[in-house]
Amino acid sequence: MNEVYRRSNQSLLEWLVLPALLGLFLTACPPAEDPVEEETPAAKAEPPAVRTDLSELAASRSLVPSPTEIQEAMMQAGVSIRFDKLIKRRNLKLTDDAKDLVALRSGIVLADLVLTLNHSEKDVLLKDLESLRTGLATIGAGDDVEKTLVAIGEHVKADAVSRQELWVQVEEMREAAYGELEHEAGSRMVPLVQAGSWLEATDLLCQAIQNSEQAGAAPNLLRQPQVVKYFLNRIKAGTGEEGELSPLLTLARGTLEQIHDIATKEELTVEDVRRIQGLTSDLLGKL
Amino acid sequence: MKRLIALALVALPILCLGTPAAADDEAEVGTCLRLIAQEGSPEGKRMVSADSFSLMLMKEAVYSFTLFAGLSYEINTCAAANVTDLDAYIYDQDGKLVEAKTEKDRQPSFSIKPERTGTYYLVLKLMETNNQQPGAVGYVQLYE
Repeated sequence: MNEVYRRSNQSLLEWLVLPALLGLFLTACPPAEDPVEEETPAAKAEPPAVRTDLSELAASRSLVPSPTEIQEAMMQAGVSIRFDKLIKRRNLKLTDDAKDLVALRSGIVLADLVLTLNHSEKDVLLKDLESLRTGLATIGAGDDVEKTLVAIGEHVKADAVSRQELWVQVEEMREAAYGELEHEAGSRMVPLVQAGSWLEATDLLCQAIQNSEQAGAAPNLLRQPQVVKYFLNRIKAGTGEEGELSPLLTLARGTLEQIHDIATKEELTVEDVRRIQGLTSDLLGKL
Repeated sequence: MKRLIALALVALPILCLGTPAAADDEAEVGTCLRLIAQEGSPEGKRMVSADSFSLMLMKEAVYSFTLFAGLSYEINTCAAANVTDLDAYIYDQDGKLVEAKTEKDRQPSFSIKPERTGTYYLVLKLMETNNQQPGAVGYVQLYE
């Protein structure tokens, strides 16, 4: 009897108390709305505070500043002479010549184009776009770049784009052209185009600093030895079209070596700027 | 022979950085980078460089930049939909860590105003994807 009573009491306990406890548990701890279990994030290793391998690992194409960036940095440093006031258009040979030289010249055209984009007359702009198209076609940029440049020219002719929009189009075209040149024309062409643009912008920077009454910190903008080293690593004997460097490329290499030596100084002076401009102006005049 | 050389040229970056993500992913990243450049342009932001590529899990891509004292820079990243965590670090020319973005973030970005003109390095490291596959990522460098 007692045994039966105990069992019935136990059943009562099981029937009433356990469901109540379960209900309480469920009310107090409702299931999460999102059934996905949250992962406990594994602790990440902190990046090293110092690395010595980066210069070897880095892709260097991005190292070269744009001509307009150099101009803007100069203005921020207190020299307010715009580059487009100093540009002297050159009659550059963009066909029927060694590709290395045409690449350098195409870079000069590209620099002149972007530095005058906001202010140039339509016919000058169209001429620059056509020169760039010719130069890039000669050095082996693919059809896509050519089509893009033709399309940009058509937009300009039809006044279909603002100069603001044109900026973006030209910048995108430049990056696309570099990517395509690397695949279509080998790893040497892009650095040469970049070197042409950089030499032109550097020459204009040096002119502007010398023409300015106050140079301020602007000479230190030329402290870009890694950029020059990047060019020197690409312009080497044995890597040219004929295996040897042409006299003009030999001159370019010598010029860059001298600029490199000046650019490694801790502080640059207006005298250093004058020396660099002597070198860039001589080289650009011979291209 | 030319075909072999061409094949080697195509294969080299793949071996270095990873197997190619789907073409759609690459296009998605390219569109994202273009959009950032276009949106920055009316604000006077100009593009200096950009690139997109496929990265394997826990692998790095390193880029070098010249940054000028006095200018303000933005470095934005874009990632394909399968990327759930991309880390990014900036180092200076002496190899010292300047800034690190290590929180869980698909598309980290930096704003930098360097005190000194020099070479800086961007390191991108693919930490996690939702399918354990390589991920398409890219960066765009702007200045103003």
